Amino acid sequence: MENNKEQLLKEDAWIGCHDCDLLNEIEALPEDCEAHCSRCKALLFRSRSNSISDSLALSLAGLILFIPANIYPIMSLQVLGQSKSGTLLAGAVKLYTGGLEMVGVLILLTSIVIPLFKLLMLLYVLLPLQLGVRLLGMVPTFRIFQKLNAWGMLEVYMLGILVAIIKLGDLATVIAGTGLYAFVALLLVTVCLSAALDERVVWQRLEAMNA
Amino acid sequence: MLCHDCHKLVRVDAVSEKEAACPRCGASVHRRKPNSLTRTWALVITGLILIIPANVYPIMTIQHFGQSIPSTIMSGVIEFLKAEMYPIAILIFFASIAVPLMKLIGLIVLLLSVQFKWRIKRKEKTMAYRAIEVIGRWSMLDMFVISLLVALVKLGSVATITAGVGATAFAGVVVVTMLAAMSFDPRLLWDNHQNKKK
Repeated sequence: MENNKEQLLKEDAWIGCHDCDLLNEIEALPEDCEAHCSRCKALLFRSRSNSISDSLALSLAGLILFIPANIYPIMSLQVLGQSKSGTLLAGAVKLYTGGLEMVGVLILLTSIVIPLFKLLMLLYVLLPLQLGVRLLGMVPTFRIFQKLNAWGMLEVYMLGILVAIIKLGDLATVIAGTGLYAFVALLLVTVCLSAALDERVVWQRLEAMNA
Repeated sequence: MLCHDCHKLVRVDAVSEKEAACPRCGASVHRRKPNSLTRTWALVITGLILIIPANVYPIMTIQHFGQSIPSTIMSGVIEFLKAEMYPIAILIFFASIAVPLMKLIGLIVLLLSVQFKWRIKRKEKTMAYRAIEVIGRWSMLDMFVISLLVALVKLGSVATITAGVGATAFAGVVVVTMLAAMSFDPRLLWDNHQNKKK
């Protein structure tokens, strides 16, 4: 009886629901499955196989793709003999110099800075974990990564590109640039990365490392 | 208690509650997000105020052969309707007008239901909150479209597009509504029901 009670009170046997605060008992999950709160059906956690190694590979791929996606122009516009092309950065800069500093900064952050930092931060946390090394500040870095997660808006930018192409298609000839292909690849990598990353495993490893 | 950042269950005594820190990640731990209702209200009201200039002032101006044509969010939608590109018109309307409004109204309803203990089905409230959380970032759509148009359409007097004040107000609405959804603690929705059961 006493042993049972002790087992029940052990912290790691339970997980609290983030949305409704119900304590759910943890069962071991088979790989690549999801666990939902019994009361409000919120997603509690997913178990993903090889989360850390997969996420690491994807982060590196993302970082490599980041460079051409930003250096090469996304698309060019041709009208009446005149031609104008733009990179991801160009839009933000033009808004900034055009007097709308805040919008320019916001676009810069959500489409370039934050996605880049997310990849870098993830690399900083995952690579040492994979190698079994301990670096300074891994825990705060991962915390900041989690908070920034919602603010990287590459998919929204992608849809924006499509809408812009359609809107401009009438006026002029639109030509896709090299940057666009790199950008699409980067987007796919980001999406796969959010599917592959299992935050629970990362936190458990971080905890084990610091113990 | 549940740590916000790393979701670890932390055992805390009532005595040390005010300054408890998560042993795994160092975040401060509370039963509910502190001042959640106040902060969310402040942000929602800011959003409501900003949504007016966002729609009244032009978000961009098209200069076409000497003519300056200002364009608000709504006129952008109407343009697509006139060109019979209905799916895009609906998309822009949805992302730039419907979504911000629905987020604000949704949050107001959730806030009021917590404060006045309305009897709305728990499941619906939770789903509403989740929808608000997920859909928020997509309002940024029009902002990205503008940034691309402004960068590309710089062809002298043939056609030049510049961005307007409405864009700043609209960007403000998007940011503020996202922050509002993040500052609202969804567990408050369940608290009322818990007390009623007892």
